[in-house]
This record gives sequence, C-alpha cells and structure tokens, in this order.
Amino acid sequence: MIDGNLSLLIKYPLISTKNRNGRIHYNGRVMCGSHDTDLHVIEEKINGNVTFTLKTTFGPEINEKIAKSESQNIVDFLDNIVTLLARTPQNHANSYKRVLHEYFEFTRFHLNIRNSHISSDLQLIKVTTVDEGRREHRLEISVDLDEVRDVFQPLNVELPEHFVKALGGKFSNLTEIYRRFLGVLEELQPFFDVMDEVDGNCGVLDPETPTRGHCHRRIWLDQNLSVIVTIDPLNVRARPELRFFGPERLVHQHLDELNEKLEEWNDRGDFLEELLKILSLEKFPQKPKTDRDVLMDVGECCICFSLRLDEKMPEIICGNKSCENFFHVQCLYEWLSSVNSKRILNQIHGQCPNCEKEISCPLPDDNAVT
Amino acid sequence: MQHQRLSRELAKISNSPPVGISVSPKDDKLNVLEAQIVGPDNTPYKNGIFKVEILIPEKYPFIPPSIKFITKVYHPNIDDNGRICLDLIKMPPKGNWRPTIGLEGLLIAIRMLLETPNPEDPLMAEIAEEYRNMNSEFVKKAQLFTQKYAS
Repeated sequence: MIDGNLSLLIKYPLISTKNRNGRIHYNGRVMCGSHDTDLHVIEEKINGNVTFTLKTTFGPEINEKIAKSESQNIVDFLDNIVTLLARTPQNHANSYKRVLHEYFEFTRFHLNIRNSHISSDLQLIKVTTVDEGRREHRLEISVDLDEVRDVFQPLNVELPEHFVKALGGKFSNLTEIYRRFLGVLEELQPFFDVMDEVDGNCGVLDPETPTRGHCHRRIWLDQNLSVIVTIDPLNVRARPELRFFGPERLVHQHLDELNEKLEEWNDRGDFLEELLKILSLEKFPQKPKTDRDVLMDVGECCICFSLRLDEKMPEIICGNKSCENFFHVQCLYEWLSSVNSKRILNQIHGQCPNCEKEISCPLPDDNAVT
Repeated sequence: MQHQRLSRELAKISNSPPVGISVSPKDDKLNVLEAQIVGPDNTPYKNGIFKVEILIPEKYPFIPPSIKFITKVYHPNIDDNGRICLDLIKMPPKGNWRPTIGLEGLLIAIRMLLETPNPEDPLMAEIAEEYRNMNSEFVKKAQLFTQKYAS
C-alpha cells in the first residue's frame, strides 16, 4: 500500500487520497497533454476484488471505455484515463501547440543545426547537422500526435545498423534524440573518415548511392573482378572482410594470394595502404572511362546490336514516337515469326520488341512469296 | 551476329557493372556464362553471394537464355534445382521474353525477384505459403540458407 501511494505521489502529485467507510476517494488534477483535468475516482473492494469507478463525466464514449478497462491499481487506472483523454480529437490542438513549442525551442537552442524543417501537418521534422569532419547528416523524426508523451520517433536513420538501435523507439523530446544522434556521429567519426577515403580513392561500383549507413563497398579491380570490402564500424582499424566477386577461376586465384597476406594487416597502419598491401596492389585501379558505356549506337539494330548485317542496314524504324528503334528486316522478321505473328501477303505484323506497339515488317527477300 | 551482340553486352557489363551483379564467360566460350548476384539489402539474402549459370542458346537473342541458380536459395520462385520462375525468361505467349531485354536486364530482374518474391506464381508452393502467412519463419529459413550456402 505504501508503495502504491508512493508511485501515485510521484506520478500524480496533485491527487489527494481519502479513506471513508472502506472506500478510497481520489480527488484532484492530472496533466493530460498540455492541460489539466480535474477528476474524482473511487476505489472499493467488492467480493475481494478491487474496483475503480470514475465519478467525473468526460462524455459517454470515454466513460464507457474507462469503465471497461481493467486496472491493477490506481496509477494504472489514471494512466488509462490520461491516455484516452489525450487521444480524443479535441485535444489535438494541444498536441499541435506542444509539438510546435518543442520544435521552436529545440531549433533555437541547438546552434549546430544547419537546417531544419517541420512539415505543415506537423507530422515530420527534418534536421541537418554537420559533424567534425564537415560531413552533413540528416535526421528525420516522425511525430505521432495521438501519443500522449512520447510523440517523437526517429525515422529512416542512415547509420550502420548497430547504431540505428541507439535511436530506436519513441521519445518525449527532440533534444534527447538529437543528443543521442550527435553522440553516435561522434563515435562514428573514424568510420566516416575511412569510408570517405575509400570513396575518394577506389573505383567504387556498389552501392550506387552510398549512404552513411552502408558499411561495404564493391571496388573495381579489373574488367571482370571486383572485391566487396565490409568494414566494421565498431572496429575501423581492424582488417575488413574481403570477398572477391567475379568468375570462379579469378576469384580462387586472388583468394589464394590474399590468404597468404592476411596476417600482414596492421591495425595501426593507414587503412588504404594496408588494404593495398593485402590485395598485392600498388594503387587502386581506376575504372576506365569507358568507350563502351552504351549497348548500341544510334541507328544500330536493337536486336543484333550492329549496323551492317549481310551488307544491309537497319531499314525499319518503329513508328511509335517515344520508341523509334531501328531493326534489320531480317532480325525483326525472325523475331516476329518466332512468336507466331500474323502474316498478310508479303508483310508480317506484330509488336515492337522494345515498346510493344504494333509494328510490321516485309518478308526478307529469300522468304518473300513470289 | 550473335557473337557481336553478346560480346557487346559482356563488355558493357564488365565496364560498368550493374549494382550487385557480375557476369563473365566461363572458359573461353561465349555460350556458357557465370554470373554472381549479391543478395540485396533489407532481404534475408543480404550479404550472400549467389552463383548463377547462364546458357546462351544458338538462336539467342530470338530465344531467351536459360538461367539457373547454382547456389541454393530459399525462395518461393526458385526451386531445389535452381530453376527460376520468371516470365521474362520464357518465350511468349506464356512468357515475356523479347530480344531487346538482354543479359543485364535479366540479371537485374532476377536480383529484383530476390527483393520482392512473387508468391502468386510460385514454383515452391510451400515456401510461397510460408512467405505469405508466416513471414518471420520464411525470413529465418532464407537467412539460414544464405549463411549456409551463399557465404
């Protein structure tokens, strides 16, 4: 009983307790959202079971829900009431006020915020900050206006998995989220440094758009060979996990070479130099500025990818303006007939293999009906 | 004709490889290719490297290549023998192959299939069932397969 009274006192200090004729009367105020509400609750024992009755009227819907709720003790019961009251629509105005107030206080107080934005429906907050290494980091926070206390929840945090957890869950104020975010950023400085070095010096193939959350890079080694380097953000100096990616014989050959060098990794050395050493490289090969970045040149047949086929040029152009691909008669004919397109006289009709709009093609000379 | 097209396709892929994909000829022949696909993030295949074998038929590109997984995969549309259920690698009218698709497009489509299985058209009915109704169970098994066979 003393414990119960103590937690009541701590959580709801404005509630007074009176024992009258075996019933306990609770009277006073509770904070609900950002305003106070007066209420009166009676606790009594009926057939050995403790029951709570709300004597104040908050409208039939709420009173009914509260009557149905089951509570172990008075604190539970009051929690239920406060939650229900805060969720009712008329209280949203208070939530709005509270969120705005919190947001403006927060942005005014923290000077290292580079950019911040709150959406017009107050459901999303975006904050950009800059770390020691002058890298920008974005933090998105969703706002749940139905929530009583813990309204703010970090969203799509772009940090390594392990660190996302530090920002998991819901929070009652923005400063706490931001403080944790900055803490994690500080801890991750060595990791970001290494990743930036890798991105600046190696021919990175994947991820297409690396984020601060990606711990791996696929690095170009040769025409058909790349290596996937996975760095442990908790132990940046340690030898990263290396996996070769390419045809089996090349992979095997490189793996053998790597295995001999694995032990030579020095945790105190420069990351890139250590990486070069165990990969037996002098410097990171750069992806060639390729002359073959496109599959086809303009005017080439988009089936055989060439201009001349048996001395013939692509003669057919798809009539669809957004397609306009070229085809050799022979290529298009062979495709259309392999999908059983309709033949009418000396023409074959079907769908353009690129845009699927109608296309037709004369029969090639040696197939023409004479 | 086929040679010209294939060597161009391979040159393009090795010069600017698509995300998570590599392809190269096995030995010196161009009609058997080996490809590798990195399991996409946010899937139970994450961190796995999956080997894929591609056979180029004589009539390519009028007929689609036959593609199968060499690495075991736990997936509603990939069977025990690595066969893949994907409309792009079947001839019309059943499938949706077109000669303009090419190897790169096919491999990207297969990687996307790892990302979003299609339980409506399953090859492995039980896995599809599990994917739909007991997703956490499915994820656990798929992760286990990835660790066991694709690492």
